[in-house]
Amino acid sequence: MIRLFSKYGASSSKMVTFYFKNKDNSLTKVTSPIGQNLLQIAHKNEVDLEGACEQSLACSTCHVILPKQLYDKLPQPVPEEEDLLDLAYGLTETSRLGCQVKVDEKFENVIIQLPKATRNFYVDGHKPKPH
Amino acid sequence: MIKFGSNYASKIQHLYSNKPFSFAIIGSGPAGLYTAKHLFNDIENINIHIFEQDLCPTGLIRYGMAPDHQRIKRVAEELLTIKQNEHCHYFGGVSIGKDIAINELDQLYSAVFYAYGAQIDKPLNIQGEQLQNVYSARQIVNWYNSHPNYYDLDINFKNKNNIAIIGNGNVALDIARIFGLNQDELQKTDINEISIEKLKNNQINNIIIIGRRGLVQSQFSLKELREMTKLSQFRFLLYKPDLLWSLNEESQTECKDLGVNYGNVTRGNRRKLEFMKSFEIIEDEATMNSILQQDSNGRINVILRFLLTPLEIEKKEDRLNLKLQHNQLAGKPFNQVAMPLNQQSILECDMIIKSVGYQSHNIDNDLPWNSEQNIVDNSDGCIKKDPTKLKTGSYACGWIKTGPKGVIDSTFASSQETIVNFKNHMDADLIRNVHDPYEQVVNLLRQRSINYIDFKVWDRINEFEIEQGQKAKKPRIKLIRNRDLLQFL
Repeated sequence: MIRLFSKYGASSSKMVTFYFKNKDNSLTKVTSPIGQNLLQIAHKNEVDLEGACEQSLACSTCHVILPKQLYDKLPQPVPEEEDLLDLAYGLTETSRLGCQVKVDEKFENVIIQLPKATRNFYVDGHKPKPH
Repeated sequence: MIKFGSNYASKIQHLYSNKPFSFAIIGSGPAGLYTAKHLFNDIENINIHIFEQDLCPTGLIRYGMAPDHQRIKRVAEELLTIKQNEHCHYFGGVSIGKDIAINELDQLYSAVFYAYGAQIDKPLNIQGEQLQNVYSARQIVNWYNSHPNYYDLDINFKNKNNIAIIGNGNVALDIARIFGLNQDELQKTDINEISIEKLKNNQINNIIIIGRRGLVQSQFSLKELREMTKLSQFRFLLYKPDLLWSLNEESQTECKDLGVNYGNVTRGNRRKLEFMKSFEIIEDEATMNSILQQDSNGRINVILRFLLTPLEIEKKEDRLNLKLQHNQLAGKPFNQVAMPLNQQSILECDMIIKSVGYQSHNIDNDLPWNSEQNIVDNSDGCIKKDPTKLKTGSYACGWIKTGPKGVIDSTFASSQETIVNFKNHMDADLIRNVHDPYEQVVNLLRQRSINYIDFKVWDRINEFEIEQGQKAKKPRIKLIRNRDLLQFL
């Protein structure tokens, strides 16, 4: 019998593999047991997702963008999460707070996008001329 | 490019990667600490010194966020993990501009990041602002958050039945909520005993929160509003004429789903308006007067008023008369302004709190200043030497960069932007190497007889406060006098 060992110590919980698209457009592949939330998974894999209020629905810093297909399949956010999404930088129609979204099989191979923090992010490596 | 579980930001490899950089950060609030954390994450071989005017670090996390908002205050722990870095030093109790000039910082460091936020009040500039029982929100917030300069504020709630708050941002709601928490609720927070005692047995009937523009343009967020409506002691009320005047066509447009170009602004407006439709409505002036004159039977009426501008405050025996100008909205959607109507009224109250925003001031004549916006003169976080040139090596993060608006998310985002632009300057070799100036700074402060606390002292203070809190089933009990804090040196 093959045992699956993961970073989380569980020896046979069901795992799911997906990707975070970082602010610089690079992808980070992650594998997680089902049931963890996106913020927990990001932190375990050193993905740069802030979680200022430590998963207590008091900020919007763990804002992530889901693919539409996945977003539509998930249960509706509670009003308190929607209130915080109202305040999130760069809100989209498929935005969620990472700490409120637990992964399952539906997440296999999806790409979860971290929102660009600012308008001035030079993603193409462009460097402004020194003044 | 796919990485496997590694840090997305590979550290900058410099041509001179064995030569050090040393950075100064002014301000240890969210902006300063976030900047420090990310500079350490992204760049190798650096020293960071953080200067803070208060003895204790974390800025508004400690002295701004309300005492009952402990969850969001936890961000301090994450941000302060930088103290584990031996190349990170904290100087608490040092005022840049007074104790050390910014010219000196420019000599001592490769780059200086200004993250000192906003320390004064935006003035109302009306007569009567200086009368007794008129306060700024900043004074009240610092008072209930135990700031060493404000814990002994001359305030009392005896016979204060009606309290007017001018301004309708989240700070106004914070103050109204803290004033209305019962003693049991207050005891569970980190508010100090002096404040608890003063608030005991208060007979507040009505808190009238006054906005200059309409309901849709109100600055408080639905998150804070919803939280407060869950507390049974508060009864939220709207005034019918305000509601009618607020829902002009342009304001209705500001609530429409206009697609992705307007981002989440209309969504927030729409949801907030929908929620507020469930509030009780005061039909007319007679009903309003009756509510303002009656006892509220143990509850607190939070009356949200709109389209009013304060004109003058007059003392009337031991009460205050707040003279108000009535407004209507004019202008295009998203750019509506308050236009005065030929109508005025007087609100009789017992205490007035001005909550119209904080303001930054210039700490040093050599710091380029944008006096129109009251912020450091900057372009996307890069401080300008003059309108056409940048002062390379000087940067701004947080409210000192953008103005004093926004919650922690926007502070982080603004700091992110500055860091990106700064890293571009490093890549362009515009930032000079400087060896760790720690000894020089310590000597300089000693010569100038400036007592400061470092991270080790802060750790002792923090541990003590939490320990004292645990005994009393509170998150912490804050030390409130500077001399009590300095005892830990």
